[in-house]
Amino acid sequence: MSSLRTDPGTQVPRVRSSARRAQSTAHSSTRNATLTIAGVMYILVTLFLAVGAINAQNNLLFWLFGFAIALLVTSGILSGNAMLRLNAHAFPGENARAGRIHILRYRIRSHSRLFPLFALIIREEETGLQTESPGIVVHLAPGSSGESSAEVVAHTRGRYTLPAFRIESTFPFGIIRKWIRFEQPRTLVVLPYALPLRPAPLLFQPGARAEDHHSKPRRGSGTEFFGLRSYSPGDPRRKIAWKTSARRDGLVVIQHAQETEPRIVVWLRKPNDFDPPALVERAIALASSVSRAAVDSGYTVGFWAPWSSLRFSPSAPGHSQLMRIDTALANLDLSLDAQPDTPPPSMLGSVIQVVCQADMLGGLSDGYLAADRPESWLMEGESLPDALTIEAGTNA
Amino acid sequence: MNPRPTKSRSIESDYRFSLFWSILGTLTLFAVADANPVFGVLSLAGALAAWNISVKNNTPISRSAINVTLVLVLGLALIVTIGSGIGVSSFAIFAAMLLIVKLFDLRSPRDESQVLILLVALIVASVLTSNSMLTGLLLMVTGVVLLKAVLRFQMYSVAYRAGVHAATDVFEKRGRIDLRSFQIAIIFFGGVIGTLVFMIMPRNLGNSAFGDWGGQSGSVTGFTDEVELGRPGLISQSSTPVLDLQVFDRNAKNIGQPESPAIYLRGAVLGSYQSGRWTYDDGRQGSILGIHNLPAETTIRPASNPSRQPWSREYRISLRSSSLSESPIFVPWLPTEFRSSLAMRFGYDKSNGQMVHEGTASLSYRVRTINPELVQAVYPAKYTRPIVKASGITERIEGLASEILSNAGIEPDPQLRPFSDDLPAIRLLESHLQSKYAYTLHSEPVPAGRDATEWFLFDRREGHCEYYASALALLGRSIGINTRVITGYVASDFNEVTGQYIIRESNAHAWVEAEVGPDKWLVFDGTPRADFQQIHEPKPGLFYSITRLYETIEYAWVKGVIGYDSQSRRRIFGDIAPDFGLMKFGYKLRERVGRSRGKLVGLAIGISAIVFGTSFVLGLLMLRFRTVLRRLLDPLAAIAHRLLAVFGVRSGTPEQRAGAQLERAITRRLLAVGVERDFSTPLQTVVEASGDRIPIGLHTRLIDGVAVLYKLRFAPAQGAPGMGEVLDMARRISRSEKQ
Repeated sequence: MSSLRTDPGTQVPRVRSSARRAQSTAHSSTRNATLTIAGVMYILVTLFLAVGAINAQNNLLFWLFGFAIALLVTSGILSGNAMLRLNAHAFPGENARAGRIHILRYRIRSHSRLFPLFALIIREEETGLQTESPGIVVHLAPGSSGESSAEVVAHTRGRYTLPAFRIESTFPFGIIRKWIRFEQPRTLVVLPYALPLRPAPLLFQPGARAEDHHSKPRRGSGTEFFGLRSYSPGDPRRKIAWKTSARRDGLVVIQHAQETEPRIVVWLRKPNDFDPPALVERAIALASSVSRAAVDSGYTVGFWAPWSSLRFSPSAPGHSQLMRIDTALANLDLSLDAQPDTPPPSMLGSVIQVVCQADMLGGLSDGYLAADRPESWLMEGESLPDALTIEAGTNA
Repeated sequence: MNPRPTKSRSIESDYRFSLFWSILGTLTLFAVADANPVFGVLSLAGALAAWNISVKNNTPISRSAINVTLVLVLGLALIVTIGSGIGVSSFAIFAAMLLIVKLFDLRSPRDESQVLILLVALIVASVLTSNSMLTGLLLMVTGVVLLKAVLRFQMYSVAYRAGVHAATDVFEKRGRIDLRSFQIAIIFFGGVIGTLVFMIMPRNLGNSAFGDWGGQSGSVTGFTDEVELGRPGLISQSSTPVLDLQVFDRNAKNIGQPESPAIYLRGAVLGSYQSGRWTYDDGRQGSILGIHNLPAETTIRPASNPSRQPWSREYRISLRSSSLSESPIFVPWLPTEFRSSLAMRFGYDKSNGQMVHEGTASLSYRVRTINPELVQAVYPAKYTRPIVKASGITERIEGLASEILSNAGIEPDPQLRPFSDDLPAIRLLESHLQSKYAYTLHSEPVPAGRDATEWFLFDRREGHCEYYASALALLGRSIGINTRVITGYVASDFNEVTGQYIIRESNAHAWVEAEVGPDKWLVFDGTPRADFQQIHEPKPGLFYSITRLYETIEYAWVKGVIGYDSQSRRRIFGDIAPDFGLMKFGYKLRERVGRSRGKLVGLAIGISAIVFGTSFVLGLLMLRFRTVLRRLLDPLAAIAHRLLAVFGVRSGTPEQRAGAQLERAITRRLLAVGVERDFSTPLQTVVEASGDRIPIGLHTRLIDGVAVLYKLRFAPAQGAPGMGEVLDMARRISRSEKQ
């Protein structure tokens, strides 16, 4: 739902006109106006009135014709004048998620000292994004600024370029659509779909149980016992193992093991040439979703897709690592020449393989998730997004 | 009932508030303009019911119910149209019914915009129906309210796009103030520009070249150009003003007075009597033999003035509302000069002074008259009385006339009576009718087989003005005096504030003109004077005073708005108002259209109908037989391509031709394996969907081919495939066909 916030109280400070010009040309903008369908009808009716008035010399029709002309003129002058002095800025947005509503935010400012603006609509141009609801500004007082936001949805992952947006209005009569185009190129990264997966224990069993793949214990600040060592000056006294020290010649201190999270690597297998694109996309979304589920379940996640040069060892903290994986998957270009697909080193942790088609492995086995078998990983009662099913349904 | 919003108005409630009053105002406006209280009551009741049931609770009724109602409305509109013809009234009734149905079906801003369009249509219909002051005032009020509704609708529709909650958000105070200021600015600029356009627009161009459209559909009421005794005829009690009249002397001094004698404004001159009906002279379809275009400010001498008397009175007359078809021009007798500030289609008959116009809704003109009493009757040496029409003169009527004249010592026999006795004779008959008969507005049917005039004279002995006029005309003819019945209006209601006579529907009257000397026609009225005054003169009282006040204001409206013409325009702007040759062009166009109007309109309608009908049928056929059409056209296209290729003519760029070649190869290969390509489905989809019917090797090749084709056509910027690659692919697919 787009927000509707205006800030009429924020007065634009009076600045020199040259400074204002410089400000407004920071991003180039073009203005234009077109007749709407209602406008064409309006003009036809106006001509109809004119013919009727001339035909019968009906003075009331003459007056009505005059008023119709006047509305056409005032529609352009009163409303268009304020539009000429409009400036806008689009905020650089965060990453979006495929299939989910993403908010694009704008700040607009009217430099007109006289004419208010009403019923403004803000929309993006040529993005490939689906606009759920455009940004709107119901009222912008003269010399004030306001914020608005539009809601868009991307149905495929990737990097989208938002070259420009336009602010348009058909106010006051819906006859003429006046618009200003603001060329402010931005980039929006759309992360893969977040698929609703089954609970993690069901998902990762049995070949990828987390407890089976603990790494070797290391010294740290946890609560588990790691070992003993001789006392060094500066060691806290509460770490001294008094009983053991009593049995030995000198003081010894207790060392604790570092608490470690279970580690897992999601291996996105290289798709085959004949895999339908939608199925490949589904596999990518599945890989992303599995990574997220693993992080949510307490795993340290790594990602492995060497055929596309994606290699993330499970070392970084959970959610920042996840963002790196998602961003990399969003930018994954399947048209590039693929590198050989090699398995991840065993030292990285246990592996969950994500494949496009189960047949590739000769059937499902533990530790594998196949994109063409959603019944094995998709939460019950949930369905796949349309973008991941339409073509795949017939081919997979 | 009243959806008055609270102080903290949301955008939606603010808009709905304006819409509600726009609907009520517009329906009332049309009811007033059409003088149709039934329409007003029913439409307002319907709109209020729809508002309370559906709009207020935001519960539109089901689509199926709406569709059924729409069918009923269309059926009803058809019946009304068949019954009363296509007119503004039937259109407005249809629009009002649609409006009410639409109020039950408000689901989105699109529905709301349709309601607003219907309101605009009703407003235009109101202006086409009437241009009275009340209509004008209501138009202004309703226009402002509708303007307000339209402005708010724009905001509402924008907010609606962002979701229902945004539309119901409270509209901040400053926004409301700004919107109000904006609205006032629009009304101000709109009013100024509208009035300027109204004043500058060239006049005198119209002559209803496009038919009876653009003006008031109502005609002058109370008056008829035919008298049929036994029917109500001219009886009308309505006080609706029809004409405004001012009287000036030669010094341009307004000489109208409250106590002055009634002024007879003749409309129709009826000379033929048959079985109780007075009509125009025999052999005429209309009142006038011919109608022609009369330029503005042209002086016409509509009646003969053999004695060359100078004019004594000037009458300035404004006809408030008239039919666009042929209608009489009302002038006093005896008119010697007629001048209209407006160009019009005009006709007159010099033999009886009858004047008509056509295609002009409202009319202002100036008539100069001489006093017919002062016309010297010049008798030629061998003067014989004109032969009078004998139709309707019975022995009893002749006997009655003879008796009246004999009793007064005047010779009834025209052969023996001196010419100078004709005037006293007809005066005697006039007095007899005035004194011996009673006036009544109650109308009774004439007994079967009886002549209406004879029945009035000898049996009923009471009646209204038409009976008196008919009786006097026949009595006069029975004693050899040429007479004619005149229908028109009588002016007796003088407004001292504005210095004008107001002629109302109730002032419609019938009287007689009699020829009392060679070409000397005088006015005679057999209707009893006291009854005449009672009927036609206003009754004083509070209501009368209020009415008079209103009419004074209305007179200003009529003079300022309705009567604004080229003369007024010239008075204000002189000759400096630029028209960029529009007037000259307009005159030429008017002449051209006027000359061959019927042919032009018929031709335009015919050509439009042929073009529309042909396109419609062709479209239907193409839809129905598109497969057949394709099978027919494809070989033809292929032959054309080959022929062009033979002659070295190739269409398109090399890339396009290569693409076409590849597409043909794929299509042909698909056909060879029994896959018919549906051209409404993308080629890629066809190929992909036919995987189970094509050998896997071929299928892969076709998919590759489609990929190359798509890349060539749709993604050349990202590296179009080379020409060699495309042609090679086409060749490989074709070769697989041969294999």
